[in-house]
Amino acid sequence: MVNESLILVERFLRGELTDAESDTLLALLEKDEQTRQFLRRNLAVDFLLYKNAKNLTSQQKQADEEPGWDELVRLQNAERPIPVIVAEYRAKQAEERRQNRLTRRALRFAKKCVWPDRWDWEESIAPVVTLLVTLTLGVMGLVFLLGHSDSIPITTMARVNETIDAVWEEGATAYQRGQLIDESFFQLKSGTIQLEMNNGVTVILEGPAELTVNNPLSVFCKSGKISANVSARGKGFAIDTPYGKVIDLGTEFFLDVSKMDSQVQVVKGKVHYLTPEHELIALHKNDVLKYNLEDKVQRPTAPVRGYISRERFETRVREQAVEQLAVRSDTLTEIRTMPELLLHFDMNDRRVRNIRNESEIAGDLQPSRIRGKRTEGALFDTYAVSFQEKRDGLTLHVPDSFDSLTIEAVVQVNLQEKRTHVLCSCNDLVDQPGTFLWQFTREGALQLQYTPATGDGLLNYTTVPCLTKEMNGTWVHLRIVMDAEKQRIVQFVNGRPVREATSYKVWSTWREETKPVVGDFVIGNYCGRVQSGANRTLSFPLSEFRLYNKAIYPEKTELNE
Amino acid sequence: MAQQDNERELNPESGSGGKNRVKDRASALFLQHIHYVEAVAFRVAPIAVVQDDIVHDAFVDFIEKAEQWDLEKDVRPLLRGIAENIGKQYWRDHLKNEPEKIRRIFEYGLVPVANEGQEERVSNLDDQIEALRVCMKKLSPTCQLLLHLYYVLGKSYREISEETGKSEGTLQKACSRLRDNLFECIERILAAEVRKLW
Repeated sequence: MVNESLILVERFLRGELTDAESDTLLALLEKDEQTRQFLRRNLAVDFLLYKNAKNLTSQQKQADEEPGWDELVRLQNAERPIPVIVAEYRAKQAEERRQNRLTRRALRFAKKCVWPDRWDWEESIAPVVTLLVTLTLGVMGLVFLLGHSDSIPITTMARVNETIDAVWEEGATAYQRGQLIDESFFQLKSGTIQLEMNNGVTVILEGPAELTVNNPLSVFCKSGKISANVSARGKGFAIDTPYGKVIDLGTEFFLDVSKMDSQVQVVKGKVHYLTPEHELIALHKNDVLKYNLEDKVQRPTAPVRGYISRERFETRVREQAVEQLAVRSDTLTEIRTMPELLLHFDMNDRRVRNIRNESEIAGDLQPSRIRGKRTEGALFDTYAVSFQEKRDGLTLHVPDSFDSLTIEAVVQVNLQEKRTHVLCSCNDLVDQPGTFLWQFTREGALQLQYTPATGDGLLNYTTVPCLTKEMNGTWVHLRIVMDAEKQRIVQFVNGRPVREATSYKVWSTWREETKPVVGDFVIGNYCGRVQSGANRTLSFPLSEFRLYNKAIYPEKTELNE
Repeated sequence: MAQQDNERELNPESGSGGKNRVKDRASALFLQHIHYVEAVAFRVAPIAVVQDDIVHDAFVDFIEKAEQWDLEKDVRPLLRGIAENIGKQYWRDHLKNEPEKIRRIFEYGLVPVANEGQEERVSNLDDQIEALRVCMKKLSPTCQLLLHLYYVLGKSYREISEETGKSEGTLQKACSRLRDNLFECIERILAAEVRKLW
């Protein structure tokens, strides 16, 4: 195969062919069967490689750093599979970061306790004090944890992994899939949820149930059915009930707590059951124990009342994912046919899916470019992108001005650092009237900055803080409507309008004569003229982004004065 | 004490008891053949970015009319028909915005339709990917790393060139040749299992 053909086919696959190169490639394809075969083969294998990479990345966890070429070559010399090498590299990096965190926390603690008024920290003293404090804490930890080798993690306690048809009691907190939690109280009326503690313990809870999570090793279950799977790191995980305590020793077991009694069945491994009379009973695989206040301990041969196995739950999760994907597909199909849709971008591929505006027919579309990190999306087998580096973002161009605009975005809340996160911004902000910027402020409020015709700086339309740390891990749907007809700007989170910061209204008055202009546009970053040193990228994973040339409100919206 | 005796369905009020059983069966069947649908989709519309959409739409189409199908028979011909129709539509829609020359180049990338009387088989996508993985293990470490950096880590040729010190042109040519070689290897493996890739 001629060198020229190789490069032309490659550039075609990347969408980078120039006009002259297209002519050359066409000429080669027309006259040479070998080139045609070469093109088909490359198309086919490119797709397979793309799918294979997608499968691999969906199995691997995200890390802050990726190994570079030299590191991979060095690791590859050990002749092990690439995914294993990369996974171990990431695990090693994660462990180093964790140890650094522990050291820094110990240092800060020591500084606060030993020298509270002293801000200058001499390097020669720091290691000694750190060692003393760490040893003291270590001894205390060993006693408290009853001999367990794993320390209690210092980050968020647990995560709500999945929810299946979960209905919560009236007035109770409605936890969502992906939500990160600390000490929490679950009142599940019906349905099933799965919790994962940060020590690897997974608990499936079936309603009606009441469960209190005290820490990753201890929960209190007043009622409900639990299926617990405990890894080696979670050994010692205990479930307290009104009828005793189940202490796991690295196993899988089922527990059913009702008003009358509790029943536990061990699937594998070993469990200790501590009765209210402080009698400790060891249970092994397939053992069943029932306890009530009248008959005390019973050892029935019949199994526990029906339980939810992990396999059943995972099957149901997959079914739910298929249903959600179908609904999403319906919704996206409907959205794509809307004549008001200017731009629709979902992160399952790297190209803008649909731009439609008046200049499209004239061929005035400019290519879009994306730079960011791909992460898991809101639904099973979907993707999102986060923009972390200062150069990250999705840049594109949308010509023309519009009377009204609506912007939608689906992001995963991740309030780790207190700074602004820009959802989107116009390049000519401040310079051209009608340009705008939409962002989260440091306080977690939504804010639109708009360039008026007067040239007196930017107008700010800010809501009250609407993102909190309790929402970390959950996906939220954001919307802003710039309505020229009703002369108002409304910002929504999950379909509900958010109150304006300076009044009790859920909308802001907007009487601008200048029509909104998009032009050169960046999603996920700030691209205006006025630059500061701070990073303002949207580090929240972004799953979808849409732009409409009309005011479109969520269904059943009531905007009261 | 068999575990099957202990298991039971999720509470019907909270689980799938209230839904249409035909649709449940149809969705389970579709999932079973999803890789086949993906392979058919790619044959008629070899554009990687629309594959998921074609599969989604095929799924919705199949489920919506689930009650019309005879789900006891082999559904693959039916799924193939649905996927081909939807795929062709996406092919037309995707290309209509492309310049004329690019459209013509894409046309050359389509697999020729089998002649009458010839049996046309389509391998499941997961079989093709499995064969790809086997073939990739046979590549040299440098080639494996190049593909890993490009596809899995998503680095551009410029970034790989900066890291490796090789020119972008060299990397592009190497990638093209690698894909061609991988194709031959995949075809051998699948043919050995009495399946035809194209």
